[in-house]
Amino acid sequence: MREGGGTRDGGRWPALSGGPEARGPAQQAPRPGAPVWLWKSRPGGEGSAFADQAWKAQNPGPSSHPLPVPEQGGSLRGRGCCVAARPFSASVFLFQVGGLAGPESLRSMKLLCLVAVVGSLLVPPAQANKSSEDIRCKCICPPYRNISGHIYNQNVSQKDCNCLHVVEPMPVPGHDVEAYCLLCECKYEERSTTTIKVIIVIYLSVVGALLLYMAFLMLVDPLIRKPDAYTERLHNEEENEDARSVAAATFSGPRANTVLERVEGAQQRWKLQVQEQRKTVFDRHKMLS
Amino acid sequence: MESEQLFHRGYYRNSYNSITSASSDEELLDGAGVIMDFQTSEDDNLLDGDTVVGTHYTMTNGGSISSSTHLLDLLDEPIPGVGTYDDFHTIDWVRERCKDRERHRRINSKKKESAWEMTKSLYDAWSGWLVVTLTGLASGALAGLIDIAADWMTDLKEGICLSALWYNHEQCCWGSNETTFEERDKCPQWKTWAELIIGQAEGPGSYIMNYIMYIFWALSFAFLAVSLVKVFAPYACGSGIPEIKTILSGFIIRGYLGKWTLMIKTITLVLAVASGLSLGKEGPLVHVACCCGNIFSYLFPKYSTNEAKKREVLSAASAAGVSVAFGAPIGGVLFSLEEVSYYFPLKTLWRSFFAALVAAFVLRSINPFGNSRLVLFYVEYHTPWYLFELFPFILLGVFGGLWGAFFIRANIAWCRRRKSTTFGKYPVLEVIIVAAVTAVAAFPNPYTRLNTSELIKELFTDCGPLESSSLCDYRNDMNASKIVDDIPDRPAGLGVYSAIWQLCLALIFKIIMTVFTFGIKVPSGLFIPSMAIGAIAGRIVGIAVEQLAYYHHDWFIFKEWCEVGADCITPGLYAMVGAAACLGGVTRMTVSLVVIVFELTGGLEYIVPLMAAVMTSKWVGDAFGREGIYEAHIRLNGYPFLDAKEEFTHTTLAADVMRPRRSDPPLAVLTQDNMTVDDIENMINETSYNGFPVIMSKESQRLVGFALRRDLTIAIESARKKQEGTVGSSRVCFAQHTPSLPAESPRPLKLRSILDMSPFTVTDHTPMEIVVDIFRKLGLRQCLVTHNGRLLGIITKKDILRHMAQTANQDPASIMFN
Repeated sequence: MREGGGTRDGGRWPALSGGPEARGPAQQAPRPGAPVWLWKSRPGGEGSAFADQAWKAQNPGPSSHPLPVPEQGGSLRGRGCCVAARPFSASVFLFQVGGLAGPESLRSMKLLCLVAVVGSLLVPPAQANKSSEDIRCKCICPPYRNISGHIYNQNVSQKDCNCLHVVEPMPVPGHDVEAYCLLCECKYEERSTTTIKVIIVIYLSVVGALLLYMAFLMLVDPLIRKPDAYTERLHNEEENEDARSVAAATFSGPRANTVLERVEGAQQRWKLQVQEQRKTVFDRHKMLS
Repeated sequence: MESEQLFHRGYYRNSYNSITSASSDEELLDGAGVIMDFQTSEDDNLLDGDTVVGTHYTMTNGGSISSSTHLLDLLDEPIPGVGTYDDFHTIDWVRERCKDRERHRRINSKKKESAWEMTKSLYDAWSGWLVVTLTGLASGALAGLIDIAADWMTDLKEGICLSALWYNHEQCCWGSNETTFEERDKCPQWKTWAELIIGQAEGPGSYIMNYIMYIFWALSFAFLAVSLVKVFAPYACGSGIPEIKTILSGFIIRGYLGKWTLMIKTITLVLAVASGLSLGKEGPLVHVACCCGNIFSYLFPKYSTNEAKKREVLSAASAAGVSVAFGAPIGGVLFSLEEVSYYFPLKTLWRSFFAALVAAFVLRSINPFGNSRLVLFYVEYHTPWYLFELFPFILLGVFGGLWGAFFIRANIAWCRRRKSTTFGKYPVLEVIIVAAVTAVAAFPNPYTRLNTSELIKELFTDCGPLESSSLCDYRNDMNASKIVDDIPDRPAGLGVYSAIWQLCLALIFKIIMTVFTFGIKVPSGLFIPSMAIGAIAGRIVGIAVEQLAYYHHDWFIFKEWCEVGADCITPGLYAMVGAAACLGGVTRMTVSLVVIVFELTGGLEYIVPLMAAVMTSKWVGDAFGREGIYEAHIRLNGYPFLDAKEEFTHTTLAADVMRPRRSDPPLAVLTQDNMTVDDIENMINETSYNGFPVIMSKESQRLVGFALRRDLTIAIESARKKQEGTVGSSRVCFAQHTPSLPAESPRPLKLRSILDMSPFTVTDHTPMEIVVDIFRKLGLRQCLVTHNGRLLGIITKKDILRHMAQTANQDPASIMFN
């Protein structure tokens, strides 16, 4: 759970024991036979960075490279990827179920189904690849001696997310690298660009659809619908300060036969309900004021 | 305890039905002038309109009805519609729970019959878990959608990502290597509006252009939000928690948790947050989750047909809502328990726990903030705190309590104004004005221009060497090469002082704007602005204490801990404590709030400071008025909510509260076997009560049961349609045995199935304290009052609410739907 959590715990400045947390890996680390997987299994970027760091401290050499450790970080990340992709399709499924929930809500059901279709079309790419732009390793190095602070950003896997791999070119001479790198904080982060894209597209299309429908209700609908019995009745009822009976009247109205009429009826019923709600909230101020 | 009582009650009811009508209860009742009173609501007009007196057939056959009773006629032929409720009515918890038990028993008894029935019973048993799972999944997914879309739209106010339009600012600069240590959020892909429109990134011209665009976007988002709310779902406005509390306490608001409300609330919440108004998305997320719970409960007959069971799902859903709002699953469960739920059995606790878990899991896998956390302002401290710091923490608690009391007073006064004067007639204009003022005042100050969540994040974050904001601009005279674990206390630099000034202005701005924002007709939560106010105050106090400790480290309180070069004060921690205190002052939550904040920080060691601050803020707030903001809004709107936390201390008796009063006329009751259909219909038409006690006869006045108005209407109507020989002069029989009738009289209508034969009764000398307790614990809707076994009157939930308002010197007429 701790991936990417760049934190202030002991891992970063282990050399001095300042607080009770400084019992970091520092004291135990520099044994060559030490169980390196101990830090590796912590999927945090800095943990592994530190493991490498400690190892390097033990084996000074220009071409030092981290031990070939079991690629636990990688496999973890793989799992994370699947997890990230799955709930989205789950939510799509939910949208479908939600649409089925109310048989009378034809319009919202249609809308939700649309969302579901759009979503399911766009989900597969999310599972297919974790593109390189979805991961980053970001190292923030604070000012050190006369070197100003710097941010390094690279596309490396979680296993390589440490100061030694990311900070290039190294601004300090070789003997200072260790001190400089201890100051830097490296965070491994991942995101799902597909999820973001899909969510923004869905959101905008729903808003657009609602706007269109709103425009339809306000501009087109009054034009094509003559002041018929329904509005008249509505008008009368408005004077009676009780529109709920209208709703009842519409409920018990003549049974519609075709699908179109049923949709029409549902829409009329919905309109009356909303009108009633609007009265309660905006005019009578009975609720939510 | 309570459920045990209920169980016995249900058991008696059942045995009563099936064994004999002459139970000992009935013997106790003696006749008297029977009176009753129910509060009318507007729905009754609807019912009145429906019950047209039908044409009168005169059929002369059919006096010979076998009087053999169906043992289980309640189960055999349920009339559709009986047992449901009208809009704005109170449910009868006892009746609903009995209904559920009967249903359960029926399914259980059929279980052995076939494999299909077995499957059905298994499905029924599992449906509770299934519905909370679905609710959790949906609320997690919706929370992810809201988070991502709101972030994107918030950043749309300042600019746009040219390389990929759907990225917000941070995502746009995700892979960029051009960011510098000082200006981390600048990258060439992200264009501000000034850069796009007038082509220059710096200078007064671009500032003005950005300012104009900021105001433009804020206004258009706010306008869009309020028009969507007004056109499609007026119930989607506000925070929703007061209404959900009322609904969970057993009130029906049709459409409040419906599909349109869900969709519009989700959509407009994003717009409202993005418009930069001083509001948060946490409270509305609870409403969104409850909508999901309600919608999914329609898939399962166990929950769709039973209002009490549905409320169990809603309790779990509200836990899921808080779980995703704050990334605090346990805090969500406790929030549901402490703040919103009314009836919370252990089974619901586990289901809430599970729903919160599922929701948090879904949100975590969507990873909306890219930080692998559920909230933006997650922080992790490990610096210890010292004993003397409890004093500033308690000071922050006092501030939180004062803020809470002030906010509740001011906001309620403003909302009352909105409710009662013509100013409330212009909701769209109000939103536009508030949004315009907010945008104009917020832009110049960098701390108010930020998204509130980001502001909280910045205030919570401790100053390390990696921070470059002006809040962390300390004079650094230490030897930089010295690597230490903790950054010692340092003297503040110029940046910190200017930041403090800006924060003070931001504090005043937030305090004023939040009072006017909460309650406007867009989805608006209160948690985030309250937390922001507390965090600002806390950070200021934190920096002050830090500087005090730095310059006066020889004072005796600092001596022991704050030596030169030691890190003893963490201003970020103060911000967190302040946020908790302010939230506590406004909502008066305690346990759940501490757990929520503790889950936000992941540090167990700060529980004591948080508890101290929250408790202090509650005490201070309670000194100025006992109710939290949600209770205050419930009272303002007059929802029939019987608060379980409130104590009833008056010494009145049931006889003082019951209706009718001495001067009122004794009102109609039904007799069990000598009224005709016409008599009953007349009574229904002439009165507006919601239910009628049934007595044996006018002479004996012994109580038989209680029949609800709605059930009576539906039953008579369906009998007229389906049952041949039901005419106006038919006898209506509530008794088990049909009385002997003259041969030519029409066939009697048997309505025993709709009769509640175990109405709750108390004697007239029962103290109101006990009556109120019974109403609260059992969730009664009405209770009959007897004297020496004679039926005297009735007490309804609304009578109790009115009485409580009277004893508290409030206007009893303000209770809703009188």
